[in-house]
Amino acid sequence: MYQYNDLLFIIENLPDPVIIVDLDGIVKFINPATESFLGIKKEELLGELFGFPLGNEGSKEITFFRPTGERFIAEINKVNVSWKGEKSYLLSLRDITQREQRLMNLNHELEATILELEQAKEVAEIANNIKSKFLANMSHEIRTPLNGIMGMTELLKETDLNDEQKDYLSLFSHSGKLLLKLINEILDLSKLEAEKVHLDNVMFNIFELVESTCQLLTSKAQQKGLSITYSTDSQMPTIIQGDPTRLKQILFNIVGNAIKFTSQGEIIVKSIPSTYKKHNYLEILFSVSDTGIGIPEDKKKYIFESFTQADPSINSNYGGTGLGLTISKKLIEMMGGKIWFDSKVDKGSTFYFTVIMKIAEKKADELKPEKKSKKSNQNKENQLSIVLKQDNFFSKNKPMRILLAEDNDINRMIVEKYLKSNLIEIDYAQNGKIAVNKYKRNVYDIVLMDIRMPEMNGHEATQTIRNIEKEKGRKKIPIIAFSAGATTEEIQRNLRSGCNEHLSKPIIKEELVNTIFKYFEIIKQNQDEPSPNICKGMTC
Amino acid sequence: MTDYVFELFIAGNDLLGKRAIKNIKLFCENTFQDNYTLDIIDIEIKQELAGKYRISAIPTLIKKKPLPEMRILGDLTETDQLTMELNLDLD
Repeated sequence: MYQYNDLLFIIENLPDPVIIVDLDGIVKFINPATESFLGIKKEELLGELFGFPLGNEGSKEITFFRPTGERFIAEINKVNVSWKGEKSYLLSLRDITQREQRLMNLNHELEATILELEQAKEVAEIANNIKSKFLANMSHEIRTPLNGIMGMTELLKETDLNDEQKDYLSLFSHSGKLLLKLINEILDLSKLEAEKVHLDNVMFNIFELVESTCQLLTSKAQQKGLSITYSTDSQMPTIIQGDPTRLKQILFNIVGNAIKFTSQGEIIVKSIPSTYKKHNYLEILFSVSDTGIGIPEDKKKYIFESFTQADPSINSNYGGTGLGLTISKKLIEMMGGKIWFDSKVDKGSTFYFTVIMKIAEKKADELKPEKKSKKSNQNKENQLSIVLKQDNFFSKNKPMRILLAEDNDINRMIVEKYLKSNLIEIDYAQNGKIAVNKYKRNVYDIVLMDIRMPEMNGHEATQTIRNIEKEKGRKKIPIIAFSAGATTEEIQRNLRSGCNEHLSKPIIKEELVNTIFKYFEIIKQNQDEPSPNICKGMTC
Repeated sequence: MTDYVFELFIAGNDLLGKRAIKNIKLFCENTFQDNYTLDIIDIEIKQELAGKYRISAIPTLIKKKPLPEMRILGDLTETDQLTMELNLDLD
């Protein structure tokens, strides 16, 4: 055991201040380190009320002031002891001013760094915004001449060509389609990155969605000798609520990839309801398996990054933009899900993804069935003219009168060629203002309205036409919007302005003809009951 | 006059002082209801009082009444020990 004097010697020589106070907080002992620490003489402290901190565990932080006004921070520890036979507290102090100061400096540095980072983030966000706008504008600007190129390619296909020319044209058309896909995907990704994409929340039939998506890709698979098997678990609720267009986009992309990277074997698509969540929400698990080339181990982590394919040579061998999976991943995350995969080189890959959707309360029969695949439309080229001839209505009555509002000469020419028939009369307007004036003075059966035009754009022109119809009691004329923008918001904006339909550029002949077919009955009814108040003069 | 009188010494806006004020106010309201007086003294404003009371540590809580006068140092987080450490007879 140590002797009392030995212990006292140790305490007296400790570099840290030690104070002993009784249970009332009166100072009974201080060591020399305390004197210099507090800047107070021993005699001034002994017998004085000093106090003590609460609690026996850990140290407390306290600010001390020396008589000189100097301020410092100390840690104080309290231990129960016996001092000269009386219960007391032993208080030990440690100067942590420097440590605190360092921490404070670090804090300041950290705050400054955060501020700098925030500023850098703001700058980056502004730059990103500019980039998104630039991309949106550029893709719009590129799409317009591309419309001309693709349209002319379609027309060229209908002329007499030798086999060599046909081959060149096919490559020409393929490149055009690839370029269009790339532009669409870049635009989509820039919107997703700018968080400008809003998901729809509508009811749809999940069985039909899986079926129609796979059917769309069946012919592509068959061309490569592959089979596609798809199934939806029978436990799956038929009608669910969410964004069917975007879900279809994801599935289309992943199944499309499976076909792209498989040269023999099969693609298996499955969807099952995996977890039922609160408030009628359901997690749906999709899996797409292929027997393709697989993904090498060292490329696996890059697979979801933009413009990344497992191997640079893949692009030349398999095509594609390398944006599909990036877009799909972002969309899946927006739908509360995740995407992952298993893959072995030369054995194949299985991609899994989940999305969270709401189980719809309405019954299946209350939902309009989705349009079936468009296979039957392939033979409809030139059908407009044939149908018009067969249909006595237009041969007996007046020809179909179309007002085409389009500022671009090439696009105007393409539409004219697409619809060429002696039973169709096409009148042109170079901008929205001319279109409105022509509409006031003449009778038309249908309006084809480009959206981006000088003087007055397609939205304003459509709204003006709709207003004139109301004021003059004229029949509601079908208006089909043509626009380079293909985003959901753009389509909605077109429909909100009063257009009946939206067609994205480049205008595909088949789509245009089919869309006009849809309005045949309305056109006939409108012709049967002519509208009053058609203004013949220039004063209207 | 109230039966319980306290003075809390703090210095400006420092975090320890703020914590001490919050803790002691809650303790007093719960323990003494209206029967207490609490003065909060900022020694950066009233420097003369720091000298008069020989305050060298901040925060310091002084129990002026009931006697004996006692001092507790720190942010007073463990308020459950205050009754015992200050010898308060609450019956």
